[in-house]
Amino acid sequence: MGEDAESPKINHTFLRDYVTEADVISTVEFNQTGDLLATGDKGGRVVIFQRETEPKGESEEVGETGDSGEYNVYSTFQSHEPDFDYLKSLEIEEKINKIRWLPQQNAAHFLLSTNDKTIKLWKVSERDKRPEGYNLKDEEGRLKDISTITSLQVPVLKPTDLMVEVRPRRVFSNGHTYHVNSISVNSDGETYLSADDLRINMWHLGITDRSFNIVDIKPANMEDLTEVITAAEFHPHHCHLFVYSSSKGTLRLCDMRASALCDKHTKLFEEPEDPGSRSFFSEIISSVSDVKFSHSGRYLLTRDYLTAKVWDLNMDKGPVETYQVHEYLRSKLCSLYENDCIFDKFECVWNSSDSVIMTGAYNSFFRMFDRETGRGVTLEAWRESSKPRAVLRTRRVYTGGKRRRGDVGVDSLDFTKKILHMAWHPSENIIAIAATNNLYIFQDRVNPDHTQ
Amino acid sequence: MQRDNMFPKGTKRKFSDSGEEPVSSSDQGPSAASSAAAVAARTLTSSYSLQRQSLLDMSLIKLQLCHMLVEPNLCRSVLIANTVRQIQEEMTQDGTWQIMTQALAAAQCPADRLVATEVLCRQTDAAAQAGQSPKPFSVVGLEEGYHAEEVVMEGDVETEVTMSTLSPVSPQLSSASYLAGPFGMGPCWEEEEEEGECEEDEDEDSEECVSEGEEGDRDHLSADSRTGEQVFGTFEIKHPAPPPDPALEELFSDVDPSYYDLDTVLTGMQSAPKMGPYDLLESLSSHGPTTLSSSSSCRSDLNELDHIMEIIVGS
Repeated sequence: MGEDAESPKINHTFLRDYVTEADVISTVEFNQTGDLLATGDKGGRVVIFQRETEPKGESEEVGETGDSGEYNVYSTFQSHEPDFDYLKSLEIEEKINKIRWLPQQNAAHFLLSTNDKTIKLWKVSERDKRPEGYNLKDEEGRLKDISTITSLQVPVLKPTDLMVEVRPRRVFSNGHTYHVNSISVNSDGETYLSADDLRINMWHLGITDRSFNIVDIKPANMEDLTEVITAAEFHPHHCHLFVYSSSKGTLRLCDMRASALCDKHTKLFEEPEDPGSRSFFSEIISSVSDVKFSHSGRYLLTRDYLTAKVWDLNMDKGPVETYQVHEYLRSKLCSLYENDCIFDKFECVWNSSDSVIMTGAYNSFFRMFDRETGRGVTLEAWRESSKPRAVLRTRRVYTGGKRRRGDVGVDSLDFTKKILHMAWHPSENIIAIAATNNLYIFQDRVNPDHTQ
Repeated sequence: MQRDNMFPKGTKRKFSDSGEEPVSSSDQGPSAASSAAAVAARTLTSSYSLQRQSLLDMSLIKLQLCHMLVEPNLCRSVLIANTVRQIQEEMTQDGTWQIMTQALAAAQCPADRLVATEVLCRQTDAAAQAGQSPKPFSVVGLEEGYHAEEVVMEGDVETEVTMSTLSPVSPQLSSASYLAGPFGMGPCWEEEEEEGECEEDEDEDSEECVSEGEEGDRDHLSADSRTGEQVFGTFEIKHPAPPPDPALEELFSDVDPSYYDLDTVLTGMQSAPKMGPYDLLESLSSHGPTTLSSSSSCRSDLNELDHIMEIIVGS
């Protein structure tokens, strides 16, 4: 069931994997129908995969996709180039931090991609016909000798090989002083927000030379800075609501109808600190690395270093559900602080029916939690242990008690293999997991549509 | 004054070191002194205070300058700085902080490190604005046994020491700067330090320390460190340097010299001087407080420094 979309099937076991820095995937996103999957990498490239449609008449039943339903490369383009800030004498990385698809309105697809500073709107369109039969030019485009033209013809469109064209339509630059960490398309279809460490801007998709600043938490004196914005997202249905998370573990729901500058939140979501478990690392591990609205718009999913939490928008006193992602790391926080792993930013996602949440961990592991039962499962995205079409087996980290075969000890975890970025198909049980420079796509053939 | 050229890789800081060698390296200085603090505060749980001290040192090093070309991660810098503040608050409450700062004041020529760090923090702005190749200012000068001010004096272009972020960084450089504010210096995390840190981490995580440190080296792929100047300070209003002497007098009028080494780190945490990076640089331009004059070779030529400051600040 695992599909390694990037590397050829070579036996790598005797070679140390050489990972080109530029190939490291930095974001993954399905479009609204799930037919397209976009990935961005550290080298500034975007690769779009398209799901193969089922051959007509063969598999009519829901859930039977046979050989089709796989994702193949549809288009590749260079979205951002390395840049240089001359004023600060600093390089601007071309790494794609986020990709967000716009809802489809015509035959073309649009997506927003952003690096640390600049957001770009790309139009992805297909061309499968070309005009033939020009009067003045021949097939190669050379001018015809006029004396040979004896009659007029009307050029006709003839089918050609499919060509996918990607063109930049808008470039939204100079909007951010600090590093952009999130972009989110509004449900109104006209605007989107971009958030950096200290500010959130709202843009109109058609206007590139202006944006509205809607949140600004920069203190007058930068030395007083103690909190930064870590993620932001628009509500899926209410175009006036958005949420942003902070490095102190708080969530702020803002209503743009209340005021132009939403520095004052409408609702503040914060879990009271447990005084018993306070340590020097408490604040760092409470920093929220990702926030996502549920599809219903009723709940929020957040990820901090050790847990994933579900919040009810109607209750700001604390999360309604807390899931331990890798609690066994709590006693290792000092080492993880030392090697900077404690600052890793994991993403989290909902499934299509908001009944399952998923997030990544170390050692190529990722976790899925069933909200109804509260149970979690550990899975692995690692080519050595998953062949295409093989059933993904669950893994376990040994933390005491009876040790089972296949358990991995905490000390053997590979902290360089981190699953930070992932996406869940909007309507089916298909997930895309980015593991360094590899993309894994897993499909649930048993319950493909997740009608639970 | 003899300076140790070697970055103390993996060297366990011992209390005796602080007695034998006043400042063997800029890193060992405060560390040795902080070991002294730990010893002195043995009334506290010894392992807890050692652990806390180790965490403080680790955090300060993480905030240090690193010669990378990309802006550091602001979130990470803020979280580390908050951790430092937290430790400092706790240490202030149980009295170990005062002991440590006194021990640091006893360390020789703290201002040298002070100068070096500030100069280091200034670098790219200076280079960019002056439009010249990076000026050689020294933290590296420390390791060559020069006093920092001396190198600053001479060193418009002649000395081979470089403060450019483009130059290969020796670990000594990053070890120098405890001194700039957490937002005046960039977070830095270097391979060599990592191994050193591993050794110094004496508590229960030491095993993981070693293995994860190495993994962390590989893992630490991104160039996410940079002078914090770039992160925090660049977008503050760049004011031209005020007349040095009056500002300096005012600045130092209520400053206990023992705070020099750490006060930029602690800027905002203590009532005493809220000195930003620019303020400290301006402190160069005077003959300054008594600790500076404690060694005659530390004296700097005012005009030379003014000239250098002008280039740096770009006015």
